Amino acid sequence: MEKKFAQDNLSEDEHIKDKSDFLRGTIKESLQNRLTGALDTDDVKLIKYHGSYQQYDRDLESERKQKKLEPLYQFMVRVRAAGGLTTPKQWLALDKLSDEYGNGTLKLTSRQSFQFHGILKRGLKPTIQAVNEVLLSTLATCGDVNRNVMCNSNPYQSLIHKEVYGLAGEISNYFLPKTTAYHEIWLNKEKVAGTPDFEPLYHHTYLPRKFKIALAIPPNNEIDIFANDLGFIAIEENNKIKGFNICVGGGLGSTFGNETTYPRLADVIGFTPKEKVIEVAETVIAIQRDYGNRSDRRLSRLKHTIDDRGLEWFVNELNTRLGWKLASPRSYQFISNGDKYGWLKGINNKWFYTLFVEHGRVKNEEGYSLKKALSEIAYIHKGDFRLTGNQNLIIGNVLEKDKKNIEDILKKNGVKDHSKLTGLRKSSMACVALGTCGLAFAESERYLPSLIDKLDVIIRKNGLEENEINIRMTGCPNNCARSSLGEIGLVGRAIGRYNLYLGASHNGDRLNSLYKEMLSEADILAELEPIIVAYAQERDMEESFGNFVIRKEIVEKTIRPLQVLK
Amino acid sequence: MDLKKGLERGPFNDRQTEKLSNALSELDSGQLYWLSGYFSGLNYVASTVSPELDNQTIVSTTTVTEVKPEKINILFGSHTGNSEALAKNLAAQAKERGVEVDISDMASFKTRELKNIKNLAVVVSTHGLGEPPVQAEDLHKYLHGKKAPNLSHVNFSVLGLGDSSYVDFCQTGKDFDTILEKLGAKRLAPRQDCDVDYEEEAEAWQKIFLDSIVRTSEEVSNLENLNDVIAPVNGIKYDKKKPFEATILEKINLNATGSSKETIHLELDLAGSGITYEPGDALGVYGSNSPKLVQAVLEATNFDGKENVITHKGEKKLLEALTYDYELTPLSKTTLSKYAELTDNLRLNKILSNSAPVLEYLKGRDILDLLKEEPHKLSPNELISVLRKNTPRMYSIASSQKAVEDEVHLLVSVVRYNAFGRNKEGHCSSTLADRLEVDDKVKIFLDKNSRFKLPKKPDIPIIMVGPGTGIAPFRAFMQQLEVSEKRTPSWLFFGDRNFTTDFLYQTEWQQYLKEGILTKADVAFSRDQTHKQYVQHRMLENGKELYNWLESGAHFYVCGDAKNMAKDVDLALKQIIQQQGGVTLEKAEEYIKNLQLSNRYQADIY
Repeated sequence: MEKKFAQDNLSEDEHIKDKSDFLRGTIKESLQNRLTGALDTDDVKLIKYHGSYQQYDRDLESERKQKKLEPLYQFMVRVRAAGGLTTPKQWLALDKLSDEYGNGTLKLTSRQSFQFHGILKRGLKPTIQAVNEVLLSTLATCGDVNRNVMCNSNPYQSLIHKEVYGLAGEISNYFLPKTTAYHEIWLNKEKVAGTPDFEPLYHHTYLPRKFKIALAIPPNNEIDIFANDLGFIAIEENNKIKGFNICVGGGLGSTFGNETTYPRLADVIGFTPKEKVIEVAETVIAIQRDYGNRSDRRLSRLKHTIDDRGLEWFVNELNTRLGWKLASPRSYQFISNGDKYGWLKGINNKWFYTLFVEHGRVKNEEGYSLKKALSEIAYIHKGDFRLTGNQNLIIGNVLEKDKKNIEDILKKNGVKDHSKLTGLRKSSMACVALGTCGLAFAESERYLPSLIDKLDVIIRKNGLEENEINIRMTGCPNNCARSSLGEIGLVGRAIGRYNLYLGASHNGDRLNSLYKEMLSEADILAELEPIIVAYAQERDMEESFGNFVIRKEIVEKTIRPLQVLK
Repeated sequence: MDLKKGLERGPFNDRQTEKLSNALSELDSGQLYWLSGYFSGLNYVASTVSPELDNQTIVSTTTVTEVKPEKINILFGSHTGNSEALAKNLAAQAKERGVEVDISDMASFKTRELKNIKNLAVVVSTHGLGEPPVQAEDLHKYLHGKKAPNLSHVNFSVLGLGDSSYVDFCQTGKDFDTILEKLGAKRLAPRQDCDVDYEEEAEAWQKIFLDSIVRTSEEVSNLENLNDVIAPVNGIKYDKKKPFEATILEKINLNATGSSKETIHLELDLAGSGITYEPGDALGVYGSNSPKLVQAVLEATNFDGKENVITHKGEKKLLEALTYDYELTPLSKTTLSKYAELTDNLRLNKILSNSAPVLEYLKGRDILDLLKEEPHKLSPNELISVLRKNTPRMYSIASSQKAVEDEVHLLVSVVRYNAFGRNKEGHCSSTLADRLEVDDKVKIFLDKNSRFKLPKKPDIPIIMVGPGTGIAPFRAFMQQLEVSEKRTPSWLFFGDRNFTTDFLYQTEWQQYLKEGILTKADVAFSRDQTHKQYVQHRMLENGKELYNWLESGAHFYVCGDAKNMAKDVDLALKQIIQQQGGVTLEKAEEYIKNLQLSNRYQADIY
């Protein structure tokens, strides 16, 4: 058998984890240092496991430097909600916190979490405490652990949703870190003397890198199952769950200029009965823990572990460790990775309203008070709120008689009727990028709406208003908004310059390919217009934009298709 | 090859040039090549440095002078860490070849060190579309700015990193290369631009650079001592009566956008003034009145400004006199009295008969309010006769001359308020904030303060309490300590309104702490929480330690607002001595008295 990952030449992050005393570090002391709005260097890494990224306002960077002030450090705080489900009471609490400590907005993320932005160091503890008071948590929403577990949010179509959703929550809880550091630092819990910390699965250096799990119920793939390290595809028979197909090794992040990094979709390797899902997940995580690369973080996701040693090796290792063999994958079919907007009636006879939230940003601005509208709805709403994997929101479990109230509140606050928006806009996603994300090379969320304004002119001129062409933009190749799965993908290279990718499938099972590099806005429009015109005129019936550009050989098909083992 | 011309460019006198030229001209190129290798080989031999070559003929002695290669300074500006890694590699290579190395990232590099640099290697990447990485921004800006020094004593070479898929490939490296040459530095080896796969090119450049260092070390060693700065003094002694007109070199509002305050950091050029100051001294600054206010006063008095008036500075036009020689704001008691007397105004005389109403009346008013409320027909000379002569404002100096040399730095809080229906501002602070910009001149003079000085003996701990602009002299203290390389325990208490916008000189304090020049700092920001917190609260929280410092002989300094802060700080100090020393109030007062008598409690309050 091959050796496990050599422990020499460990990356700096590994040393930090090693000496962190189960994620404590000196976070407590860092929070008390009044001379800086930042944390100590090591704590900046460790606080991720507690659900926060230290960032700074990049718009103010040079002004503050000239003024002899440190960068305006602020924190992103991510709240986990397995499957993206929250109650109206929780919604109201988050809404209030964003005003009290954050920048007055909430971001609904591409992985069904909530994000606060712009929280100052002194606001961190009260924010995290208040999140916990409403029975939500920020623990392990970032860091080298299993993150928020995604699950289709649209229960109206399937009797099995409730069960799958329950399983998502179970997985989410099961893989939480066991350290009590979080409770000591944020919730004022005393560490019980003489009880050593113990991480039965993660061990004291946790995983080599982040780990993402998702569950999907075909034919919907709005959570982009193949972008996850580990995915479970529900196989349904006579309205009962038979079990799950397992897919492993997805991950879209890459680094420009480094060819050993690349986006990769998960391969479907087998089938498991539902009782064994946690066992399978635990074993997959353990393999990644033992074999994942701990010297170069750019090469440390499960996808690299698998590619380094081969898929066959991985399946063998998994079967060996399980002590039983995965069955062959069952057939499944995904139709779309987009959201269906507006009212849909669920099988429980209640109503579900999918609301388009542009790039997931819940905010108030002139003539558009989405945040206010949603808090007003939360006050009267008796159902729930569900985040979709496309940064949108479902107002769920609404009684027939309450539909009008909700519509009125939205209308009164200037939240537009979906029918007026193009399919392109409704199928758009963008990450946060500038001015807070430290990784971004270019604008994304703040810019994409205006680019779509210009593309919409072309779209409407060609009669493609209804076509759901998905367009995704990210400020860097880390790919938070999964631009590699965009039929049109734009990835920031420098301020005002993007790489353009084309040709992803419309259901999330094929990556896009690089079309042109370093394009300005004018270049993007000039490049896309003739392709859109051709699509309007020459497409086959029901042919998606992504499939069209492949058929027309405008770009080559992505080199490595996802594999489904026999 | 013209051998003689080449030698003339070298570090030889005429006689040496002549001899060398004669001796070497007989050699063929192969022999010369052999010699070049021989000489560079000699550099590896450890020996004493002997730069005086006057009485020796190099080629005729067998033990040719051997010179240890001069130190190399390596500066890197890195974004992703590649430049840093290459810089460190270069440092290692240089050490291996026996060359002393000083390596630093550009951000923490102190520009005043430039004058001590002989050999400079710059390793810098390019960020975004041809911009310097954050780490390199300041140095890049400094070298391209008006304060850029002459660098004719520097030999340099640049290694640029970039990505050729970008238009402005390696632009920052190119910028440094160009500007260094422009500032007089000599390029030792040509710039190397490296793409994403930089290893080989970088290695080649390293070799060429190090070879040339070793080769030219002799020349370089003779270039020392060229940088002694002699301040030209033209014999004039500047003082309050004869202020120096200093050019404003830099002007920065230190408060960030959104702050409720406006505090201006000024850097003034003292070159040619002969002014020498010490930390703790103050600078007198003359302001002028805002044209808007002057115009309003002229309108209120029905003058057009062209009237002649007799001032304490001779005959002038009224407009000029009102702008530069008198003060229009704030209203002084003397002006009020003179005006009341001149106009025989009953109401004003009544107000003046009692001190409380006078203070109440003066508050927020200026001469224009008075002229409008109690109009009276005045002659131009009568108008100026009631006005206060233009009086300088004193600002504690925020720099140490040892550190900033020909400059002096000030920290000025800009006074703005609304009263009696108009927006008003401080006479001098608004001059600096609104009416003077970089390159303008401002009239200044030195105001010595022997009562606010660092301890004469080293090693004595210092406690510095300076909220708001009170921080100014402590910045001077730190600069002084840094340059003199003295390390004494030091403790700063600073406070202002809001942490994110009002932490004056924040990054400098952080750096002083990091370098150990400042031992400890405690800060209070009054408006960041519901209950206001000030420096005295931080003192009380740290009472035990503060008392221990005093007991170990610490000097206690307080600078800033006299009305509230200094009293609160004094009170806190008393409480600490009472509590920690376990003594009565009287004893604590005596303790403080003793501190004052022994010059261990010094205050610069205003």
